[in-house]
Amino acid sequence: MRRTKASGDAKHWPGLAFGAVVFFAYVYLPILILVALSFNENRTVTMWTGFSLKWYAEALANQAMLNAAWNSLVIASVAAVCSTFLATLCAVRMARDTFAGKTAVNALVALPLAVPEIVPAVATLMFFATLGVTFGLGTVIVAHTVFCLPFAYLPIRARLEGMDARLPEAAADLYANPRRAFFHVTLPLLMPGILSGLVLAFIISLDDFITTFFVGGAGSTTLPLYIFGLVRIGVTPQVNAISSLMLVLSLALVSLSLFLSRSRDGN
Amino acid sequence: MRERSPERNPQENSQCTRTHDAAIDIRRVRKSFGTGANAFVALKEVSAAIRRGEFFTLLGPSGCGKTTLLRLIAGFDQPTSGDILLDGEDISQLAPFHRPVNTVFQNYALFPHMSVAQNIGFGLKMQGKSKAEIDDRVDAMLTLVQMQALKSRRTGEISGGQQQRVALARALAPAPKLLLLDEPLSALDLKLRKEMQIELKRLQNETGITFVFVTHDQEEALTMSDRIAVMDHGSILQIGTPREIYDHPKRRFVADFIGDINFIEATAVTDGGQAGARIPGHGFVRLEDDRTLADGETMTLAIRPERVEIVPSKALDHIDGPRNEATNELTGKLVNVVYHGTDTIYHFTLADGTVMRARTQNNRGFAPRFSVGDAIGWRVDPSAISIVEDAAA
Ligand SMILES: Nc1ncnc2c1ncn2[C@@H]1O[C@H](COP(=O)(O)OP(=O)(O)OP(=O)(O)O)[C@@H](O)[C@H]1O
Ligand SMILES: [Mg+2]
Repeated sequence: MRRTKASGDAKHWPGLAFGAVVFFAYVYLPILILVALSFNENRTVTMWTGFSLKWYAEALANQAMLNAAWNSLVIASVAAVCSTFLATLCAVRMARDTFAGKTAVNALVALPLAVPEIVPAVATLMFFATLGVTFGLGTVIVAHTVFCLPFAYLPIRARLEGMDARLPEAAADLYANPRRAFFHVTLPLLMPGILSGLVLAFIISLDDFITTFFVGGAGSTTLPLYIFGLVRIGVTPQVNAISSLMLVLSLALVSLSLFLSRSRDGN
Repeated sequence: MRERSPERNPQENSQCTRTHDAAIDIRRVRKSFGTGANAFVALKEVSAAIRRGEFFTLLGPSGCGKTTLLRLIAGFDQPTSGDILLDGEDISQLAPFHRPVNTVFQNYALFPHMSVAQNIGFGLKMQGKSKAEIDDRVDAMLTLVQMQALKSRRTGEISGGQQQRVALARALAPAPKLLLLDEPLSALDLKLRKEMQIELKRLQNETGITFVFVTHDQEEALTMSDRIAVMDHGSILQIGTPREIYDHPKRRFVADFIGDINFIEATAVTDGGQAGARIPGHGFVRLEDDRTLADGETMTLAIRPERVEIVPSKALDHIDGPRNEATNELTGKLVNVVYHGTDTIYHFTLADGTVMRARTQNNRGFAPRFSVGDAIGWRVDPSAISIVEDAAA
């Protein structure tokens, strides 16, 4: 009896704590080192000589980097808004009633999350090529809107599923027609989910490399693509500084997204 | 608006005399969920005429179809067949937001993103009332339910009893013709519940609105209602005043569901123009039930324990017949005496082993005059005996 208790419970497996430490170190140590070196005064990436903000100053004065950052922001903003709008329509429609193949549609909406990104990226490239459109910001925004959709959809659907189905009924009972019931009751209650979806879609778009790489064109270089270009020439502390800035922005947005999805769960 | 004022239409008024004063007339309404082999019949041909200004209660066990019926009246669901008339006008096809009917939901369904005052004003706002009118009415409602102090709180920040009152005020604010209340008190503790029962009754008297109230608490139904409809398995078994339902249950289920009751199997006796029943081993008892009986028909008699009086038995040798036909005096054997504080319950057996209960108030203190094992006499007034139908719904 005592033996099964000691060995059967995963909590008591020997070496588990050590394994966990190794895992976290593997994941986070390189990031920590990168951030630390972004403040290194020295040019060599391996030796710490003193604290300095000069790489940040250099990065922020780099016009090409700023252009890439601007592109990233424009693409992420437009794609996040479009995909969240579509995802909201989709989630509300899906929740309203049951129809044949509802489960299949739900699965299809979430499927892109499981497909290797390279596949839709290549497919989209071929699609645009066939249509003969010029590659650039437009094509990137369309492609981002599409792959951000499931990310925006999931938190909205979760919020809808957690919503009391009688609230829209109560609105209808109190003389609200379906449109007014939606705008006065369903939409405000859905808002945390929608905002959370919006932020999530924004981050996903901001971080994307593969799709942007394939469907981008002249003038649509985003920050990840720009960093990739820099790294091919050689890792400079400036790359560390830019990466650190992106990391901070992403962390801030993820926290915001989590905060939004947890807050206002009033009842 | 004009086409929905049927009171002004003389043709409508003469249409149906039996129910023309009914606020809501439910006519042979059926409701089934699902189709084909999976179809589930939640309501089987339910009919009821609920009068204007009445406190009408739907009483029944869980799953009997109370909520389903309310949802049909509110318009959230459509009946499979049958009609629902409001003041003589068929509303079965009307969308819920066109019906002058408001609902207090089982768990209130208050809007969590609005304040107490905004919740109460919601219906008026949707009706397009002016800001000033809404504010006045909301204030009046807050006063009515004594919630002025908490009007700017979020609904998540008030207690269950307060939420209940907000739900009530929200439903009353647009002055509906009919208010539907789905077990509004079931989430409250006993003390608060008693208070709210009185408050609800007061609100109904003050507003004069017709209430359709759902509960599975028989005591609540008896104390609050003008009339009660007892439901089981998707049917209404009996409609009547609390006294009719309690004193003259027509079905075994109704008798059993409300209060404590004794059942005795008997055969009908009609000779001599005197309606009566023969209880095996005991002989004849007189009945007052106005039902026409066929001689020899088997039937079930129902008697409330508080209507049974225990008396000393001096002549045990008369066990095969009642000693006094006018007062229905019979014999039995005492098997248990249970003290209940305000009253005492005597358990005794009949000749065939049927266990009966008699309840007496301890208004002179607890001093049982009989002890277990005694042969006793018991007495029941003919008016206290109901003949109940055994058949399931
Ligand atoms: N949408 C639905 N689909 C299928 N069956 C349903 C549906 N709604 C209700 N039912 C069934 O209809 C029956 C009656 O349900 P209803 O909610 O009216 O019961 P109730 O009398 O209100 O019970 P309770 O006291 O528990 O609230 C139940 O057996 C229930 O399972
Ligand atoms: Mg119910």
